[in-house]
Amino acid sequence: MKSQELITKYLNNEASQSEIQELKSWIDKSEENRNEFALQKNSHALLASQIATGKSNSEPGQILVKNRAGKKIETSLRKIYGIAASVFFPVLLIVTAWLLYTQYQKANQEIYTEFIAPPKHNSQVILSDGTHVWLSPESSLKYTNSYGQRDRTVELKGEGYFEVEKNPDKPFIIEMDNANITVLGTSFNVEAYPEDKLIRTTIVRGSVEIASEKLFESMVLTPGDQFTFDMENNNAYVEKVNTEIYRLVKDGLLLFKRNNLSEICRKLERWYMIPIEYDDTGDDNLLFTAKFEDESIETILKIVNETIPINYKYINNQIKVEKMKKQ
Amino acid sequence: MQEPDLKIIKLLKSGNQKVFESIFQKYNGILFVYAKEYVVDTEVANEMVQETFLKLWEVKDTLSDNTTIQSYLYRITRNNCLNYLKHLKVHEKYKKLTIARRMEISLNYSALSADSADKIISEELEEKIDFAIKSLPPKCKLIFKMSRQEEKKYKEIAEELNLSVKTIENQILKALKILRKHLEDYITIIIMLLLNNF
Repeated sequence: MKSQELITKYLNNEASQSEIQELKSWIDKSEENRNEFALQKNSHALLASQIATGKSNSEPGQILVKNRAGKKIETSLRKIYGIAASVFFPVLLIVTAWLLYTQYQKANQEIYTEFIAPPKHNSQVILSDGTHVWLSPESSLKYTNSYGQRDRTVELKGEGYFEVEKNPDKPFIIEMDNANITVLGTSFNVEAYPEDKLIRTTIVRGSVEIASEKLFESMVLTPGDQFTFDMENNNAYVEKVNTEIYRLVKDGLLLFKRNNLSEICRKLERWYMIPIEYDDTGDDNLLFTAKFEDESIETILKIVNETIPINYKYINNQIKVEKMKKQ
Repeated sequence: MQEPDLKIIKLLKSGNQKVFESIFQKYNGILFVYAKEYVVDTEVANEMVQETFLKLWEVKDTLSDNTTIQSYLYRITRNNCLNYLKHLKVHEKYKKLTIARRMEISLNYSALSADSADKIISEELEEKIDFAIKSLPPKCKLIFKMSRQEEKKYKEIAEELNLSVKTIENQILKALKILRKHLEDYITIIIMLLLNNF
């Protein structure tokens, strides 16, 4: 990409991680490049600040206006509460107690629905707002009866492909162990198997925001972005990937998307309900991408073998997989 | 812009809180956007700006009469941000940053520590921008003025001119692009003049 294009993208906050990297190496090439970038960045910062002075069009201005307005409301409320508290304290106490009690009752009445996808199938779940979720085998999706009231919150364990119905007023939130994804309307894939200590999401259409107490700030992802959060090493990164294959989840196919051997084994295990023993020491650099429709596990292992040389055998109702030693 | 500042500085030196408040109201938003461009984090940007105003209050007695408040505030904010970014690497917070964020911070630091960051905070900044606005194409200029000087919303401008909101957005973007180019040229000339003097 041309350097000017990179700088412009960077200034507009539209550069991906790899583009920022590219820009950085361009800047490190010469003092001239460094000065050129500095000049543009500094002009941009100054101009942005000059243009954004509390004018209602600009976003930062809006935030400030809101803050100020928010403060005003807060103080006037406090005044009202102050008067109310002195005059009506006993009444307030009763009302508060009653409110707390009904809230408590409501919380107790919360009913939840949980879907657990059976093996060998991607199961389709259609939620009340028209959102479609294709769950991978043995993955689960859980939501309460308050779904769609104030927001749309679901809990995911495992992997799912989401096509979220657009509704800017009620954000769609996926809760996982350690992270949340917030969406307004879009298609994307999420893998969050608790035992893998890894969250991976790939955006096909629209954009999503991912937030976690383990991340410094929430991140916004756009189409083609694949975000991986490795919780074991506390390492997060974004890569650009081809998302075409994710659309096939909907057809109920068994998919491998740039998976290494240990990921392949875990996936086959879930899909075919057969324990697979695999020694994952050593390097796992070879990646495998494929789609299968109604194949036996033997056929799949044979095809995997074409890309990643392996030995495999059945022992007592389980399969043992080994990497072939280099000759 | 020099004369009003003269009065303001006088009042500020006498410890007039109302004047200090009005300065805060006027520049708080500007400086916040400026700081956030470099430090990225909203909370940190707020901190930087607060420090700027604290500093202004502390040193108000020592201000010279011909100080231009705006450029003075920009300069303190720049120093605050530079200090923050310089020491961020040893900060606990830094470890939790994503790789992209770290690269962003290091790029911003290199820009903010460059000469141009100081040169661009010129005394005649507003004049410079007003002059650059004059050079915009007529339609672009009209829309930009309605937005910036009359503080109208895009939707209001669109209705008034019988255009779509999208068109207004595009025209504003175009205006910003031209203005940026103007500022860059201006700074390049200043830097070249300085270099020639040595």
